[in-house]
Amino acid sequence: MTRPLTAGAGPEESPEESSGQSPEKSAGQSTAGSPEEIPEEIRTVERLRGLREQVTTQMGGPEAVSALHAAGRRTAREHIAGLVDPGSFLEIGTFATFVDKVTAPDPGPYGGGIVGGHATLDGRPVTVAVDDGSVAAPARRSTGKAARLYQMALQQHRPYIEIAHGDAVPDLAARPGKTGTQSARTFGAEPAFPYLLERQRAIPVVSMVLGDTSGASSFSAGLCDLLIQLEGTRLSLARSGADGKAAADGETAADGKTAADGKTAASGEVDAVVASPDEAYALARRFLSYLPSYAGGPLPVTDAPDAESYDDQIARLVPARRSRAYDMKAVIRRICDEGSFLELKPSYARNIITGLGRLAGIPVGVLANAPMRMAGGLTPECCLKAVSFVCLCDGFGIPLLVLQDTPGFLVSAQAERDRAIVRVMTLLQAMSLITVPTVSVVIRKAFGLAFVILDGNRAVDLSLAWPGAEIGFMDPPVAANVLFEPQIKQLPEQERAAFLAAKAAELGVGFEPYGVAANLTIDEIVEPGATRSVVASYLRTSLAERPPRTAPSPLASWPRWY
Amino acid sequence: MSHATKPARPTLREHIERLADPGSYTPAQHFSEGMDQVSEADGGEALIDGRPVTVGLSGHLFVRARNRRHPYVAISSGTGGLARGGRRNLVVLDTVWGMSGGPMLAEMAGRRRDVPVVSAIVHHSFGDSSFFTGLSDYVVQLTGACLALTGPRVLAIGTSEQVTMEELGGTDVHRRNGQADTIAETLDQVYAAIRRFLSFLPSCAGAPLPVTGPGPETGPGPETGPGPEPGARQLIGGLCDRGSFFELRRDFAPGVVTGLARLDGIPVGVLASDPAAGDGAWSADACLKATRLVCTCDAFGLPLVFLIDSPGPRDPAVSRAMMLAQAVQLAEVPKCWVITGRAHGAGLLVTGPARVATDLVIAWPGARAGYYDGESAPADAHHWAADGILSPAQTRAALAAHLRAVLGPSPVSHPGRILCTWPVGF
Repeated sequence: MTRPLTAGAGPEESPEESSGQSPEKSAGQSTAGSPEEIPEEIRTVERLRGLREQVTTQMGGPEAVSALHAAGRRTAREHIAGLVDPGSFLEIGTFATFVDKVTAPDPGPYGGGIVGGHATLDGRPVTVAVDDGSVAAPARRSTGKAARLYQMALQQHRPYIEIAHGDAVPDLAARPGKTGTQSARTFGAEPAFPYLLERQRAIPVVSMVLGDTSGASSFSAGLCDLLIQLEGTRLSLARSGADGKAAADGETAADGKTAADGKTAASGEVDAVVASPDEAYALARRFLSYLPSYAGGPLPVTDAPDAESYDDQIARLVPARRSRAYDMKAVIRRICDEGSFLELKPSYARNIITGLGRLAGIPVGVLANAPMRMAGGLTPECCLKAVSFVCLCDGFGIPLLVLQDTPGFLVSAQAERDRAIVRVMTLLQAMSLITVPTVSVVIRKAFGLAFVILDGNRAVDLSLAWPGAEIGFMDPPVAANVLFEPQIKQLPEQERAAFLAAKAAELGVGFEPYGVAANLTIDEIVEPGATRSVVASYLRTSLAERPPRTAPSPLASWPRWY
Repeated sequence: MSHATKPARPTLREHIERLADPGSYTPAQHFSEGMDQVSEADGGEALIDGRPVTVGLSGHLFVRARNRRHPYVAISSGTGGLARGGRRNLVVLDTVWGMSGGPMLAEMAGRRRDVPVVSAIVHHSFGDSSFFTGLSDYVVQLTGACLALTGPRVLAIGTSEQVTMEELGGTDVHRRNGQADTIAETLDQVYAAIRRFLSFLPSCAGAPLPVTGPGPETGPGPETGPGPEPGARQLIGGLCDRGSFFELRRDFAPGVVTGLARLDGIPVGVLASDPAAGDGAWSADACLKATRLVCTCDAFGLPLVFLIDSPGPRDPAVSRAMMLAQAVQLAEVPKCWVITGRAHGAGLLVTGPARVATDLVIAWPGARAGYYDGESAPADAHHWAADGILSPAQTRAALAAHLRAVLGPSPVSHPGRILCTWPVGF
């Protein structure tokens, strides 16, 4: 690329031209010579076409593109083509360039290290920004371009998607507008870095890590609503190699993410690990199908499947004996519309289940205990996972369904070292700040503080229990042991077990749902088979009459992970 | 101290009388706002350094403090609901709700840092006595007192795990995991720490900042020059009013030093990367530690002073670093940055872009900035350092002048509107 192009020379473009390529022209052809007989207005259009052709096909250069392909990776444009609805891409900032190249005689490579623009996903508008992997790292990524794209998404009230697979050096020190230098003014007065820091979940943000990612490219991973990571990729603030000597530190071993040793899944920051980019695209598409296009926007309610009929099978999924484990996900799938449940963070803190689903077509967030894992007992990690999920749902107005079957918080010296008190109280804080319609159902057992918290500390809109549920301050046998310790000590050894069992049974009577329903600690006892229809009809009416939000929910500003 | 040693156990009244100004304690007498019947046993109002506070047992009078718009001090001591209400309530139907101090917890969990809340762990605290600490702005724990969700006895019965009080939730546990802001060896240290913490804060968000008279001069400013790098505490000591620095969570994530201090009499939150500990790198825990300070200061209108000397990229979890960057960005109080050495990697991240008129960025001569240390440049080459390259000796005066200017002659705390609802515990 030898012909200089000033930054301001970008002509008006029509969507058809910008999205379509010009196959009849080969790269470089149009820039070679301009015959006298061709009128000026045609020559300017031809020049644009030629340049666009060159930019879009060659990107960072043919060798760089081949190298990407040889490594089994995709170019930014290939990622976009795979993600969005065919033919829907309207590129923005095609001729943008790096901050320090704006006034250079040779401003290339164009794009500024990012390819982005507007498109649709299942017909709904989105804005995408994708790392241009054909531009050699460490390129100074023009974060101004991502900022501009995000700003457009925000103004147009549509989701913003970043695909990260690069190591860009953030230009954090740039302070646009401060000194008024030309280079600092590249992409408007928007500061380069903080474009996502103040997002407060105003629009959904999806971050896909589809290649080794560090530097500026990694930032959106810490600020998004859905973080998808491709298996085998590395995501960190710092690049590996000479500069990234910390990659081998103990700290990183605990918190960093190196897929090769399975750390990716172990970190709860990542919502889903995928095996291919195609899987990532599909997941992003599916995730966004449950969310409104912006906070406060209408929920994407689908045609309602039958939610009226009585489910005479669901009760059989739950064994009456509370020491028996069962698959809570099977219960979730029966309560939600068929095939609608999408689990998030499936391999982190598995004793609690988080995911999105639909109930009579209405998107819902499901937060459920998993009796298959440590009997459904809650660890500090479970609290992290639950808080993060509740913030997502509340931020976007998605109603919450809580399914309880837990012996409580798992207490141990390790849990205390892991800041159990702070984690548990933060979950309580989050549940107390919920503004979306929330329904809680005690499926089998719920004890002590865990019940108080999962029931939103009486902040839930509707608190239900199945008829076989036990609700109390502590698991009855343990409670009997603790409460009657002095009496037990005075008994002969052989009489203690019977005494305990009798006391536990005595306590257990008060734990029946009729006891807690009597003083409205729960609102209603519901038949298992009617759960789906009761919750569906409650949500339908609740959402229909809900006044529009006048202020953003406090949880919308909470960090995605803390 | 062995776990077998029982801490002395004063009554609540004795605690309050030793904590508060002499003769200032007025026990609660009657029914209280929105609560069950209260009695003298639950606490009451007193003065600390002439300012009113409510002191209560394990959070029981929190609502009174909030309604009166002054700080609340919870003296945590007890086995929680089981002892207080559990037995009584077992046969009544209100078991769960009553046992967990439900209504009280609801008030506390929904609190938006409108009044400062302090928890003092002066004896073993389990159950609801422990819960409140997770929702407190400041936690001081007495050596020998155990703080845990559940005590060793229930643990042994419920899970067969045999641990001592000390192992389960002693001061060694919570000094390392950051759940205690201060560890005290004696009760007098507990009381002094509470008084000290509250002395930096307004009585409630929006009240006047407790600015003292013109601050006592410090020495000639932070010492720099040849020889070993000065530690963060030396730098802070040199910049702030003499002896004013009150460190928080000292043994948790030592790579960053956090605390409250005064600058020319103005209370500020101070956050400094410590080159003497882990080279000043920002770990995931350091991000948690820093975020708590930022949230507390923003909620109560205390300006923030960051001293940055942090090496090339170290790797806290991406989300934790972004959480801190978000908190700094969303904080609405005046923010000052002093780049004392290297502003690289995550250290640079938390410096954020200062862009509001109330922000100040100072770089010391020789300071370098850049995301990767191999690619950094002298700070004066960067736009954000344009506020000034100042010598260490000039820095204190510049910070004080700036804060005086943005806060005005009679500073009122201008609390932020967003971070006050963020998690209280990190």
